[in-house]
Amino acid sequence: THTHTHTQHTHTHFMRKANVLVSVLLDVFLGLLFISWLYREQRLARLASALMPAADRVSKELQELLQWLMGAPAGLKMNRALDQVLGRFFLYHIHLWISYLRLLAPFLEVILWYGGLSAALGLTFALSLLSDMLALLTFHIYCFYVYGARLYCMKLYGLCSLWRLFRGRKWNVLRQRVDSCCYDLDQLFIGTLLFTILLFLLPTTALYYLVFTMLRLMVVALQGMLHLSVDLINSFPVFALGLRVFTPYRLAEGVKFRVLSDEPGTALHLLMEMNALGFGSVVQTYRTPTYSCYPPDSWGALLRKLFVGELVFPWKRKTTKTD
Amino acid sequence: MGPDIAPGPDVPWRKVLWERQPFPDNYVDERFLEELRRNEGIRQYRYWAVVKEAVLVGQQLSCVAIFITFWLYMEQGLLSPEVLLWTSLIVGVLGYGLHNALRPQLGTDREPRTHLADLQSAAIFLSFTFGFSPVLKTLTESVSTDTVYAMSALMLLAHLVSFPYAHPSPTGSLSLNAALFASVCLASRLPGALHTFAMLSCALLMFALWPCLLQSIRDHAIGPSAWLCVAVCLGGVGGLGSRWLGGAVLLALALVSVILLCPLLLVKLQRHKDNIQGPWDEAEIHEDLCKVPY
Repeated sequence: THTHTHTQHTHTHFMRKANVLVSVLLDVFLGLLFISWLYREQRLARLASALMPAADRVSKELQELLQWLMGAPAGLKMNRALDQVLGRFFLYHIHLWISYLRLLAPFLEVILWYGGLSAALGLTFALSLLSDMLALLTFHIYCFYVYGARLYCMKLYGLCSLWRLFRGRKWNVLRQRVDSCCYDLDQLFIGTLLFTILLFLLPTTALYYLVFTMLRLMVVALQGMLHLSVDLINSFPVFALGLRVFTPYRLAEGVKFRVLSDEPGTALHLLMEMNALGFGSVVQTYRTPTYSCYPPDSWGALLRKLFVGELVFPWKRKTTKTD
Repeated sequence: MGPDIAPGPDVPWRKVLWERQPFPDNYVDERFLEELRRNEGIRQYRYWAVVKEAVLVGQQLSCVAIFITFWLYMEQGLLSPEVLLWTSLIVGVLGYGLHNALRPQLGTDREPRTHLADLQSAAIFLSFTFGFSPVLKTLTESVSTDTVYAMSALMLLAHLVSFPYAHPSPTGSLSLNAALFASVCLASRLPGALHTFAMLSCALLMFALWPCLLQSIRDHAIGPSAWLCVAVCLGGVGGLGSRWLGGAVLLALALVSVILLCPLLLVKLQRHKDNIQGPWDEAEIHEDLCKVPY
């Protein structure tokens, strides 16, 4: 059994090294193909000149969305004063962002030119760069999401604590449970006032939080698709598949015997054939483990975090390589 | 069922099941249900004593009615907020003086510290309410009037239900908070920020400070306190009647039924009481953390 496991290990290592090498070569080949497509016919210049108007349009759409929220969106009951304050704050933020982008505009073409060259190192480089650029261009959406989420989370936390005060209870930190508590008169008074204020301002804050979370989730979905395709290119076992197609006897799952001659009097002749691995199990067995960026939360945990207002980072990388 | 053997006179039956006895398992002797106690905690109620206690409930109901009367006056512009503010201030100072006069002298070193703490509390109340009254005024702007009325009614009902009638002085959290929530809801419907401030000060006086005064009056003079409560009830009916006659009629009916009818029912129905207690009851732990003496 010792030699068996030893052979097993050498086989696994060999397959892994071969897969990684072939994946990298395929990656570089795809990248060079991409470059040759991108750099002819002035496509890059056209892309650069189309990028600024696209960012402007996104900002304009956001401004219109905020104006809609500051009015009476869908007939919902918003507190007018808080609405105006939040809306003006976010509008000013967008104004800052547009100024920043205008500042960056002349250098955009040069940045894109050098960035496109990095695809020579592999298509995955270009895709990752694209994902980062997308993150930079939608930075204001991320900012809005963080502001909205923090406000909403603090409000919910305050409301929960003050609701306990309303009923005459308190969170016991030592025992990690809710206990009854005697409050002073002024504590009760101020607590009730704050509770009323927070309760009536909750729909406004919740609406802003909802809108910005939707936007952020859209951006995150786009980034996720890019990451998944990078992951796919990196981990797909091309070498193993090629081996399976051209020399199936190298990857065997078992053997099967076929009876050749079964006459009484002569020896039994059997033909041994290799059971080749199915394509699905080839892919599954020989996948290269990458820095997996699958979301660490299940759907239920994600929904719960969104409901409470905790900040969500769906594509946060795990620090250890999964095997 | 075990074997049906006639019990011998020299083998007494013991109330245990871990020994094999010559009796069937469900045998009981003549001491069965000896430890049963019927109607152990029953009290003999006297009608007028109960009425005197029930006047407190009626008084709280009238208190709420007086508050609603003030709100009606301010909403229809018949009472200006300055008048209400000055009246509340004067009544508050008078009540504070009365409260201090009635309290037994516990020693002179306690007095100055408590006065300063009271002054600090009053300053906190007033500044906080004044600072927040513009915010509170626009709080229910976009909520429909029916919703506001319904919420206030619900909260005032909760206040009445959870009020600590036996001992009003350390005010219960839920009752005070419900009353304040209802007053904020109602006060935000008034035309100006000063109106809101006046209404909230009035609410604070009536729901937070009046029970303390009532408690100290009750502690020291039982007789006058009952007549005081009757006076408050009459004031409530009269005040409400000046603006809303139907409400006054309803209030009068409610007061009569609470103060006069319910004690009658209590006394009359005592003879139908049938509680049984015995050693089979669960143990009860009496632990009240809120009754910490000052």
